[in-house]
Amino acid sequence: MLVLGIETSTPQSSVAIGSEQGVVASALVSRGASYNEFLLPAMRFCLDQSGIGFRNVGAVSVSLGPGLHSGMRIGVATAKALSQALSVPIVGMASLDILAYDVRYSSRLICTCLDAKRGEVFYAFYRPSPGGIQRITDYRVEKPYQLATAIQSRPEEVLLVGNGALLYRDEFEDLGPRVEIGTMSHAFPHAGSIVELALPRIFREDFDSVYDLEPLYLRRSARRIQWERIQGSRSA
Amino acid sequence: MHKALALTTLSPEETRIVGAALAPTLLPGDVVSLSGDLGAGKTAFVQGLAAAMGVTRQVTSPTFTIVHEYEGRYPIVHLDVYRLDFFQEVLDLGFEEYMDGGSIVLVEWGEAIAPLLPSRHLEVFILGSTDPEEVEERRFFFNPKSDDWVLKLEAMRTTAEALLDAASPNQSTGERFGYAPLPRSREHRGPRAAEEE
Repeated sequence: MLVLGIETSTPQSSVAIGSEQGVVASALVSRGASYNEFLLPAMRFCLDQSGIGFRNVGAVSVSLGPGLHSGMRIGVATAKALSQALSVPIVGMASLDILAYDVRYSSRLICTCLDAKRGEVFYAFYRPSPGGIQRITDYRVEKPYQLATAIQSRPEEVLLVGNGALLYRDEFEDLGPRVEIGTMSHAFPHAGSIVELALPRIFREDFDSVYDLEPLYLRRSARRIQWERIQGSRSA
Repeated sequence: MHKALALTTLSPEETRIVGAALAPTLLPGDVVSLSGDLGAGKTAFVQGLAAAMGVTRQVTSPTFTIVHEYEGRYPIVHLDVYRLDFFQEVLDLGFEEYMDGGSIVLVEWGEAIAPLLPSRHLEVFILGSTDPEEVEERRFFFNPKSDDWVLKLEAMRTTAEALLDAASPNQSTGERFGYAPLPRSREHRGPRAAEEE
């Protein structure tokens, strides 16, 4: 079963095609082209280089964030369109889960932490379990100092990974040796890991509905623009 | 609180010249909010600015298309939030990514979404003329929100004076500039201002 993986919810976008035998092609970019400029050519590249046609793709897996707003939307919209056009199932996964899965070979409690911009981070805690990970908190968006407090209140040693951990490293290094901070190679979730993580779900037919699948917006705002307060504007 | 730089232009051409004068001071990451009635000259200002940045494509109003992106010396994002009702709709445009520092961002009616703008940005208000004899006259208020914008505005003023003098040699333009407080109604945007309208 060939699975296409898409991750565009962080500043490092990636696409991968793989099966239970591993990733056969992937493309990754961390700067320059924006998500929408990267995504389709990257898929084309992966398919062409591996000699796989769109018709051979058996499922689509996509990162739902939490992450950067437009990136999540473009990734999820593209994955849904492919799922419908190719009539293949779709599986969505959280960026924080994907990142945690990558570092599951640790006995420490795992905390994944991605930059949420505006001085905040997305994060969640995980406990390594045989063959995988188990998420033990909700996905949260908070200030780095609030995450530092959350880490402090845990009795366990913590492995902290993600670009948020690196960006606010000072904040977390203050917590002492109980906290180990992951390096750059684990700063972002990768599409290859999405493929790997999607396969078990695909085999047990635990698919998502292409109509209901949505990015994980942790920061939806219902606030209205107060046009009546703006002089000379449309409501004046 | 910085004082606003006030300026009067007499025609759309002069408005374009003022936009062009601001261009050399702009760097990626700079955010400019533009406010002013329909037809006040927001688009003319951006046209002058974009042309001076080497944009060859035609610059049009983004009121109905919401976002235009231009390639000049630096990437320029020109957006208009006028038709939007919710902050979420602004964010759904990828607004935060536009603010990431790679582009110069020009937001029409930026004051309406002030909480989403970076603390250091430039506010530009354009007021139409109330004099029926001078329908083309426009009053500009450049309100710098940080010290670096004060310096940029000084540079813009020097450039604009030179360009305006060159464009209309028989007219002294020096006195068109001055530092002035923002028009009162701009300072009192509370519920009272809404009632007065």
